[in-house]
Amino acid sequence: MIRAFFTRLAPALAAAVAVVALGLPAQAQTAPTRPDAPDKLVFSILSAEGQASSGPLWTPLLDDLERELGIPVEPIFGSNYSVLVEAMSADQTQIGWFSALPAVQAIDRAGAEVIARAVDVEGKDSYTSTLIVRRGSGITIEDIVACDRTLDFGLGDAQSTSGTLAPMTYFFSPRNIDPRACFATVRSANHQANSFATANGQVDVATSNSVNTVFLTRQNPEIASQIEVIWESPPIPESGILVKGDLPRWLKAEIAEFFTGYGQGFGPEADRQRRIMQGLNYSQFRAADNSYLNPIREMKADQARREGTPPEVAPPEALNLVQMARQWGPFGLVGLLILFALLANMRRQAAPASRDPATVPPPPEKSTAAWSLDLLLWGGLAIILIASFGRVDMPNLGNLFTNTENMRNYGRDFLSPDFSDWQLLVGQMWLTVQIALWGTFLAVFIAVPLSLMASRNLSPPWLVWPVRRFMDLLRSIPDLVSATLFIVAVGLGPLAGVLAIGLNTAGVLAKLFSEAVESIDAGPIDGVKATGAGRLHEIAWGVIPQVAPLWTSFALYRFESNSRAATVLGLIGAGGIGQVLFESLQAFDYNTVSTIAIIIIVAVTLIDMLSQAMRKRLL
Amino acid sequence: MNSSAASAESTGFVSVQDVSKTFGVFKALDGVSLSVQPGEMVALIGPSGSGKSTLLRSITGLVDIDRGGRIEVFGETVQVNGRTTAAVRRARSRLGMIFQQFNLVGRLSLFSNVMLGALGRIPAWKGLLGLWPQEDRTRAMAALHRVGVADYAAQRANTLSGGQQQRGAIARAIVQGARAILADEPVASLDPVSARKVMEMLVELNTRDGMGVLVTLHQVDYAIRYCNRVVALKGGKLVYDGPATGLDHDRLVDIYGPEFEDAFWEAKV
Ligand SMILES: Nc1ncnc2c1ncn2[C@@H]1O[C@H](COP(=O)(O)OP(=O)(O)OP(=O)(O)O)[C@@H](O)[C@H]1O
Ligand SMILES: [Mg+2]
Repeated sequence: MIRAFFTRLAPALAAAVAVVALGLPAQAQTAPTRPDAPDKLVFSILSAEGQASSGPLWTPLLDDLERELGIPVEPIFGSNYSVLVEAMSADQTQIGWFSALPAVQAIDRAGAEVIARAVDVEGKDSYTSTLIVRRGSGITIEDIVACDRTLDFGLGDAQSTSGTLAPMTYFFSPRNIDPRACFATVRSANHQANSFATANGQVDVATSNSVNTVFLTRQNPEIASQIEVIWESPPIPESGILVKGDLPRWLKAEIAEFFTGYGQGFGPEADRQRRIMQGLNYSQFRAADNSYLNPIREMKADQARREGTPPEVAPPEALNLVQMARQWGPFGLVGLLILFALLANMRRQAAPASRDPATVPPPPEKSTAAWSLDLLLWGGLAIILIASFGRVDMPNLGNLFTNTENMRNYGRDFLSPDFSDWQLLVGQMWLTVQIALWGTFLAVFIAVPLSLMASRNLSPPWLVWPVRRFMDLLRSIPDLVSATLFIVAVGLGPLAGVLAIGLNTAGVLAKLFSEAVESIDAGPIDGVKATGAGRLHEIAWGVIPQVAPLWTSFALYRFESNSRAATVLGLIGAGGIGQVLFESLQAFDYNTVSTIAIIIIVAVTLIDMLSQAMRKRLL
Repeated sequence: MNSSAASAESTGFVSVQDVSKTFGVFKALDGVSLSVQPGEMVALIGPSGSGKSTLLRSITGLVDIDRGGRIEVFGETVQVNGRTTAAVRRARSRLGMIFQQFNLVGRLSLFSNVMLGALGRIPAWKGLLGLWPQEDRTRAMAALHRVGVADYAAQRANTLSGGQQQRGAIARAIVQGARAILADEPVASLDPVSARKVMEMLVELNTRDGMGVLVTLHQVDYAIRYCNRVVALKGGKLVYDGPATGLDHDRLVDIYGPEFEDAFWEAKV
């Protein structure tokens, strides 16, 4: 609304409002008339809490920015930071609020510049990484440093600043310790999972951070009370405001001035701005440049150093052999089976001796060749299943039953779904279904000609082969990957999801479609052909009527599974219910997560039933 | 039209010259030459696997023949040097082809199937979208009426009996404006009553409309009863071409082999 209003009524009005609101006549009046001013600015927000909750919080601030600059400002939300970095790099966004690690990547990959850093309501502009133990366990820093392989350790995810990088850089690296060689076991998980695991005694030590501690105390006081912090890192920089480096110099200066001046000074206007900041949990934006992120760079450099050097303590030789046998043994066994099958199949099948037509031939027997192929197939499967048993942690399956207490704690919020936002959530679900619908529609559109070209009974081999390889290609690009590519081209949002789903599904449908075409009865085609019909007529009247029910059934079936796939695409900012889901997960808002799960289950079930009913009618 | 009709008089509606067809190493047709005049009704007989279907399919260009042979339809070359020529589509639209398995499009209505006969005549895009001209629609109903299945026009083809479908296929040939009929075992899947109806319909098209008919048949008695001229294939070679009356017992044993005697005897019972 506001944006449309401003784009139409143009700079004069914006300037006038700015004059009244801020008393900066000279600047406000000249700004919009600059020839190099962009038509609009897109502001990306890395939302852990979800569009639902952080949207209304940022909107008034961005409206103020729009008024100040006289240029429309459009917000865009994403829960996946690499996508937002790529979006800025592709000039889909020009300003952004990034947390520290993505900020470094935005600088390096997207040519962004820091103009301000956020200060929280307590006046802190940084947080710390921590090491936590179960309260009363008596574990100290010395026990950890002892490095005696008795403790179980919970590390953060590989790229987590406070969960992994900070403890490595500030705790382990200075003491020349490689955690892998120091602890009985090392597992990676997010902060919350690590906190739960520590409180429940599944790990002895884990990484965490000061923000998580506050969160946990607020949301899960029982768990928080069972945890003790035994080490704290130096300050880690918090989030900041970044602009794209190639914006006009004057514009960058104005944006910087806006943020650093926001909520400062006295009077009702400053009070209003302060209230907006409070909603975001900030007290002010402090002027900053790229160097404020130097601790992050230091940690990244340390990480690179660590990964470049071999581990300090080499594992014993014997273990190595066992490990090698474990790792390569299955491949060796499968290889032997293949060899056996090859040998068995190499021997030429003896041609059936010409028999006296009077004698009854013996019943057919399974040859060694066929038998060896069966062995290869089933034996290979068995070997791989056995070899993967440990790799996927199957031995820990028992924990499922011994740790029901944890699950109950963790899942308590799931049992009290929060339906207050149901309209928004159902709207997002509907968007997801729409993405799936259009994705499938595009896919059918592409798949029909492809499948006809890929059918051996209609097309010459020189066409069939390349078209099939092309279909394989379409099918094998995961839609998460293609969606990321499309985001760079068409921007964050549903269209990227539609295109990604469309492309992937086109590959799948084309294959299914062409299989249907290849199994049709040639008679009717000959019948149509014999009337003197052309090539297209043959297809329209001889082929399509025969495959139409199957094709429709396949397309409906894909639509069902695409409704689920479209949910996952929310992960990278393609919009819809998935995006809200991932944002709620990241915000530990399990009440909403559970509501979303319910909505997804209901919607997917409805779609399944509907399409099943339709398919039944067709066949 | 006139010139081709004129040349058709001289060479017949079908003229097959020294045609061979090899599948892999197997010779399904071996130097066959044959000419059928426009008003003729000719039966093509021969044991199973002797190449009857292959010959008919070659004439309509559904099968590419070996190099060396030549096939003409109404005086226009449709196959030469092992390739079909551009004239094949025109030839197809002049020939009504009737198959043992009817080859109607099962999911389309009988009416739509008959309308497909108009494809070769109307503008391609209209045919693609099924925008049949009114004139052709009336013609289709007239044809269905003539073969006696007009009541089933709206029914899906695959819900009809074999005899009804085969009569639909004949109606399609009529709508097509075919000037001759090639029929490949048109009655082999039909009960004796339907078979008779279909055969009589072919005779009627031949005598009343002057269409040439080349029909393959398994039942020798049908060939003798309905056709004046009979052509026999055996192992891909033409072994008899003459009046139906010339098919005596020895000749048939020669064509079908010694077991024929039993089979023929059964057929007569
Ligand atoms: N597409 C093909 N590929 C390989 N061989 C074929 C093909 N079509 C026909 N043949 C072979 O050519 C020979 C002649 O077949 P054709 O169908 O013309 O015989 P027919 O006289 O019509 O027999 P029937 O009376 O059983 O219909 C047969 O041996 C058949 O197996
Ligand atoms: Mg045949």
